[in-house]
Amino acid sequence: MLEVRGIQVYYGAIHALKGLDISVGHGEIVSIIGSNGAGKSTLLRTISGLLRPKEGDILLNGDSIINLPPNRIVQCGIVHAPEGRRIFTNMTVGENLQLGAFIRKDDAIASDMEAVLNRFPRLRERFKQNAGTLSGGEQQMLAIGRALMARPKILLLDEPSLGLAPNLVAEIFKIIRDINRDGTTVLLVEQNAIRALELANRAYVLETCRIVLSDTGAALLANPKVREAYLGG
Amino acid sequence: MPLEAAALTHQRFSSGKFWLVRIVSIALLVGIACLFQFAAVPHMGIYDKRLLISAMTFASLAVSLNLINGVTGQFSMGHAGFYMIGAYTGAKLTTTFYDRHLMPDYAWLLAVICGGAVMSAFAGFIVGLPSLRLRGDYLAIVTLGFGEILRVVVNNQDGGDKSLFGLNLGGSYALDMPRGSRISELAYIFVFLVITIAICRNLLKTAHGLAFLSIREDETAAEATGINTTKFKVTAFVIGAALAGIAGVLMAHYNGSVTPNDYTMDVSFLLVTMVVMGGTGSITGAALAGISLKLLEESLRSVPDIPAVNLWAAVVVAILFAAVLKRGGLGRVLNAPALAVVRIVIAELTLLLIAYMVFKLWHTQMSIVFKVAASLVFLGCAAAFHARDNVRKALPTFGYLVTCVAVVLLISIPLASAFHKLPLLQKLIGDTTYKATDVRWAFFATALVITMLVRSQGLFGHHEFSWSFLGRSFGKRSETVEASA
Ligand SMILES: Nc1ncnc2c1ncn2[C@@H]1O[C@H](COP(=O)(O)OP(=O)(O)OP(=O)(O)O)[C@@H](O)[C@H]1O
Ligand SMILES: [Mg+2]
Repeated sequence: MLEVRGIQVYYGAIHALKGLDISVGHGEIVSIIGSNGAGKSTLLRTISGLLRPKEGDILLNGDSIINLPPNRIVQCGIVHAPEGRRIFTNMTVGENLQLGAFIRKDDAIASDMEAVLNRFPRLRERFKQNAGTLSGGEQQMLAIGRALMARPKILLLDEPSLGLAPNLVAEIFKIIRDINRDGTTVLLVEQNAIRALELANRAYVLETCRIVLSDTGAALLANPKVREAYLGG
Repeated sequence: MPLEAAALTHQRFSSGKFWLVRIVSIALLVGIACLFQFAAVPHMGIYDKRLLISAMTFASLAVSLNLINGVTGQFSMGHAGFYMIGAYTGAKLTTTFYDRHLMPDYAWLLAVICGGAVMSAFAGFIVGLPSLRLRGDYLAIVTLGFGEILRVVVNNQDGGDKSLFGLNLGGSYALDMPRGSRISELAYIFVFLVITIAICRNLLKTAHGLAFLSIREDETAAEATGINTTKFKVTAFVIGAALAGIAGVLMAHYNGSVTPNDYTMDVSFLLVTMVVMGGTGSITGAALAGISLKLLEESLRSVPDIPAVNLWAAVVVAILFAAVLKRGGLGRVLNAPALAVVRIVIAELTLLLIAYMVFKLWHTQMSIVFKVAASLVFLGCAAAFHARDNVRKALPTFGYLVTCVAVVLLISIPLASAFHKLPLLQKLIGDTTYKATDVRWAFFATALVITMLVRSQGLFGHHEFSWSFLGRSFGKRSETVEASA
């Protein structure tokens, strides 16, 4: 469905991704793990059009999306929930969700909003509250909810469990699985390697700007090298 | 369908009430404009009229700048530039093509307005482009430069023989109009102010309004959400500039002349101040801050000359006393819950006293503009204090503040006169007298500083103005004061 071919990405003089290939199949959950600064967020930013690669190509169902601006890429169904939540703090929860559906013109928005609020009952309780006053976990739910409002075909999640208490982490991962079951393909970047690999159909290990390993989630979980480097032995 | 979702998606355009409200408000607007033109203006002096016009012009400029700075979060400091482009376009068109037999004056004005708006909008487009790459301070510097370069170029074309590309656009000159015919009138400027507010408000009410705001909140997130940030940023610049351009046309034709000195950096700074003070993003905030700062600036012209010793003595005493009140137990005593009734009585008595003063004001020589403004503010505040939910919170707070000020005055007057005689102070300051014209800006700045200290979010924060909101925010302060006491 989504194919990334040999992309080279630079921040000024910093070479952040050195020729990277990944592919995501229809209906899959694909995880990307790797240490800090490996380039995981950079990869997601490049896919969603926030960064332009110097070389390489990104294909969605066979069509190149490399020259599209971010808003067109969202319209194509690739929606990015960026690292660190980045919700609109001075707007209400409802307005945040409404903005998530900004690119849509259809009239199923209200029912999708309803679906999101059912998925995240806490957001319903705080519908008219300023998003900045939500707790970290609620903000993460809002960030995911906002992304869902765009009706993604592929959802790019950047560290959704960042800074959450263990029980909330479990809840978020369960929600991701539910979202995937309902038909959304998920590309997940995580520090929480165990959970990310457990959840994933397939996974990639990204190290210093390159993919160094790729396999099914279960196989990577059993891989001694991965265990040593990312799962704490 | 559950409530929230339905409410959001069917927010507007769903009922006939929508059009009824529009039509009634347009009728009201026209009515008020006529009232202005035929009932109020004939009784106004030149000065009153000029005061009101410049206040309204600045209010509309602040509202249009608010669209760029406040709502979209792009720090523009070149608003005087757009204002100037409108004014000079209008002036050039009128001096070159105006013919009173060609079309009626109002039609001509409309045509010139279109010209000015288009030119300014174009400039807004050009200046908006850097906003795609620059953020924050950097954009501020670029826009500031734009405004100043423009003014300097125009200023340098003074004299008639110099020209740029064969066109002389510059300098100070009078619009060549038949004596006594002023195309632009107070009522037009009033209507324009209302239209500016309406445009910005409607823009923000739609789903697109949220898109503008989201750029201010977090540009990257807005982009990731699929918002075409480029389009919205440039649009904000274009609309804001076009509105400023129209204000320029109107003002130039009201004055009957143009001069580069009306469009200095000071104007841009003042406008930015108005936007910040109104509460970034709040339209009514910008409009009210625009009117009140302009009126304040003007009214400070009539401040008498002040002996420096008196001024400094008063300042020192006030600071000392404020510190005592804050630190010592006095504030706690004055604010004791048991004394709430006393505070309410004091508040009511004060309101009565102010009512009497406002009443007396009408018999003085003061400008009618100030009289009306003071009365409106008083009536509004009094009503706000007595609104249903506010009586128990806002009124006691008001009483508390009044008591504090009274105590400060009671103590500081004798203290100040003692201070006043201190040899050290005498020696330091001598017998200088501050000329009102010199200290005017110092007073102005002090007023700004105090306002920002008291309400760092600006007058209305991210909210829009409503009297009950004003009362509520008074009440809120009292809660925090009581909690900290
Ligand atoms: N805006 C930027 N300008 C310059 N360098 C950047 C920028 N953003 C990221 N980098 C660099 O690119 C590299 C990859 O960063 P990236 O954010 O993709 O890492 P990451 O894998 O997401 O790490 P983490 O797990 O800590 O989020 C890092 O070395 C980082 O310093
Ligand atoms: Mg990252």
